[in-house]
Amino acid sequence: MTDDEDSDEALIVRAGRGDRLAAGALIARHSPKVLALCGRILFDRAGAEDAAQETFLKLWENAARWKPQGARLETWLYRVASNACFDRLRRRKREAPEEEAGDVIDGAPAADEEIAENDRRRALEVALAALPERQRIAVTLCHYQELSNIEAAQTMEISVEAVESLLARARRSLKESLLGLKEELLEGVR
Amino acid sequence: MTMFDQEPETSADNADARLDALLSIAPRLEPDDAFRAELLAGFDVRSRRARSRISLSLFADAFGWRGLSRPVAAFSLLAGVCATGFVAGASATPGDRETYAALAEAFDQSFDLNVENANWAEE
Repeated sequence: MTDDEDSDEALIVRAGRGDRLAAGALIARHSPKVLALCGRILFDRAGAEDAAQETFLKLWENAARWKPQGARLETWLYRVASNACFDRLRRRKREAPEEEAGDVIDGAPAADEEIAENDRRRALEVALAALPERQRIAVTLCHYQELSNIEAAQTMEISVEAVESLLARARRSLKESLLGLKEELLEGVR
Repeated sequence: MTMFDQEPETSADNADARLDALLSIAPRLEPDDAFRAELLAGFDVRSRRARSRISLSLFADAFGWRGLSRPVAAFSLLAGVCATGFVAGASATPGDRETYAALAEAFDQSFDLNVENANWAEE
């Protein structure tokens, strides 16, 4: 049986005993999703890599005494990664509070230019960045990481109803900020 | 139902569809080899640190007694050893006490001089 065929639990136990191959298998299996989650919350590669590194360091620290407590490893990793991102967002807010809101896209600029995909991405980033932290994490977990509302609730340690409420508010805010964009901006994504 | 009645619903559906489409273009970070190597380096550092730390859990693993690796168990063991020593000391027999006293006197550096003085006084 190869490492990739092993269960997460078996790999953690082996990693806890210092098995490098098991650690490598866990990294190969989970680092893409963890990094993607951090990237979509922080919009910054360096910050996302830091948060993902911190998440995996916590995994190694806990590997020796890992006990499956109902939650899957993936859910545990998302929870630790979300908290690491939360910390960074709070730090950013303290250090540069005026930058947090970002430049609100009102559709006025670039009316005559050809709108590239990068512009649409940027618009989305700004709209997501303007969301409150918990709404942003809920959208990221449910939309991008494709977790169910129940899994997202476990990850965020809140009730399913609270996740649904966060998602509804996030979608409303996103619609308000994104759908005010010029038609040209949205044309390419229909 | 008139066209006007339907319009807000259609517009809301469009808005949802547009939002979903827009969300789907968000970039996704992919870990490169260098980043994976960094994560593995973090594991190596942690493993080295764990190896360099001599802990009770090492002995616990060796003897198959996991309870020893818990801090409470380790303190209980220490407290047990101290208590046994205290009890053993307190319950020493009188004969032992005399031996200890003689030994303590023998180790007293002024013992010889005291004995000499006493002998001289007697003479």
